[in-house]
Amino acid sequence: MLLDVVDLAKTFTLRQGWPVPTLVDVRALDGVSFSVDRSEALGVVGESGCGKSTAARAALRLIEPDRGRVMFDGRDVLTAKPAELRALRRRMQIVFQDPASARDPRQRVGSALMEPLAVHGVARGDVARKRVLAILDEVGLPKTAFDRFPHEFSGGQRQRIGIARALALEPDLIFADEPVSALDVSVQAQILRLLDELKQRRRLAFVFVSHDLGVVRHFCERTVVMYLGRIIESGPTGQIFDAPKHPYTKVLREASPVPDPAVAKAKVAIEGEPPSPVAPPPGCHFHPRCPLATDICRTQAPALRDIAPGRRVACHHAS
Amino acid sequence: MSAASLPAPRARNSFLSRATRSPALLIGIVLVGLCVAMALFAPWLSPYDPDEQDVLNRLAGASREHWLGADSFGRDVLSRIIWGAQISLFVGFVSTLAGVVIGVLIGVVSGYYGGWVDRVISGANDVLMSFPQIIMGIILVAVLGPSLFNLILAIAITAVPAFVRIARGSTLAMKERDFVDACRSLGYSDMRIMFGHILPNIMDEVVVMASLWLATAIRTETTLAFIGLGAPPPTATWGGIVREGFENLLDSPMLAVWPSLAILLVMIGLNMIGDGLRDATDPRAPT
Repeated sequence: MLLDVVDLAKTFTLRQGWPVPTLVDVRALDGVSFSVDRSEALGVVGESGCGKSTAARAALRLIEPDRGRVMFDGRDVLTAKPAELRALRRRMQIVFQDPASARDPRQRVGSALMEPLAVHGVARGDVARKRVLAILDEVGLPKTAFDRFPHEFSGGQRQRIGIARALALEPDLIFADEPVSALDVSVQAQILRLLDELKQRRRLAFVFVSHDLGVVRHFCERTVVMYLGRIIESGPTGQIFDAPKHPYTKVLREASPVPDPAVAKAKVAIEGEPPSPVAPPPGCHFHPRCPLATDICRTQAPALRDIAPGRRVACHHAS
Repeated sequence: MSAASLPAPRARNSFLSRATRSPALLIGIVLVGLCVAMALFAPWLSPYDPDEQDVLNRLAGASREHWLGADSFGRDVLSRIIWGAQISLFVGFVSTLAGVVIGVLIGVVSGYYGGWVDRVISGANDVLMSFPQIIMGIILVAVLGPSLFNLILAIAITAVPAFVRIARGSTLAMKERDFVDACRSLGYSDMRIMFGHILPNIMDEVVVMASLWLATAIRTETTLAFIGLGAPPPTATWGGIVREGFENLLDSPMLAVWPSLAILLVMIGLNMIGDGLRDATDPRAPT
């Protein structure tokens, strides 16, 4: 396994209320485990606020998780010393959702891409310049982009710069945190095609965080589904989509639009809002919205259990 | 994949066009520029030695020889104001610069690290800010003794909390942007992130604040000089000249008015620059 995340947990403490504020705990991650193989793409899907971005950031140690273990290529990320962590980060990179805020607005593209090479002592001067120009070309940007500022680019182009920066240090694994959600549909397709090409050519592994099932289906070999900080189903992407076992996954699949009017069919109604992660319901987090909920669901949280080779689901009623 | 075409390079004059749209910035620059030129070229501009006494001309009114008259020692007031600009502006610039450098350094570190570092720094900063600036200056100069260096030190120390506050606030806002996380994931050191990537992005606000603080620093210098805690006599400083004129207010009222006018013009100029810069750097303002 390239990346092995075990039992990751993170609780954010918020100050809430007026005039007397009280501290409330938000359990963004509640015992999340997943793993990614070399040159494999893992999809992480779920509604906004379910903790999928937090999982990516905690695995990269951009935020410090409260509990859990992250092993990257056999080395522990969470206990790594600064120098060791720097070496590990060279091999794990992240592409952000909002390409506008992911760039230093005062730094030209070329210098932003050459800086990591200098910091890690990979290349300087003309050698670095050549390498950066090659990467720009690889992500489909013209050489003239080198001397431009980020605000001079369109959203899709900015995301290409973000991908170029993630590639600069030639990582083995890229966390893609909703990389196409902020883009137009036509541009989304281009960026996805680019990511696909890079994945094939560079044999990159991906952790692909998205709320859009269509995108994940296109891109990922395996998928985990998250709900309120917990993983509720995991398995090969095709099986998850064709034969979802968890009622939430079924609902999620129905909510994903299919661009074909002939496919219009009766939808499974989902009732209510996602519950607040501040006060998650007892038992199975999904029971207030679940059509199959019974008494056991209201009191006991279902464990993630194996139901077939490579398939796991956390539901009392799944078989 | 075919190379996507880029828009033509955007003309980088949006700052200039915003800056020149209102005349305030320009007027301010001219006013302050004149005063700075006056200070720099004092040896050639001033008609007399500022410390040369001419008892026959004590408290003389304006005349062809002494355009702005002479003070109680018969020293030429115009020459003293021209030479006084040197001390007053020097003290203002140096103390503001020191305040900016120290304050921004502390503020960025405080905002970037957060946690207990931030709590300690912000707490200490609030304590410092709760002293009125002039009281702070008086205390420091009274303790350290009146000299030019101590004056600069005192004014710089009173300037530090304002810059800590603005740098910390801007850093907190910057830290929320993804590019800071991107820098961390690329393995950049905290120093590189703070001073290579956050600092350049908060300089807009710092520069605006600095131009307004320059006015405050010069005013503090003149106030301290007026109450006798400035550079020791006979050195000509604007506050000192006002004070000397004040002592002869009934005999020759214009003695106090001329240096006050000089102070006023610099204050107006610096505030116009500050306001103009703020408008010009505000990205929400229409171009």
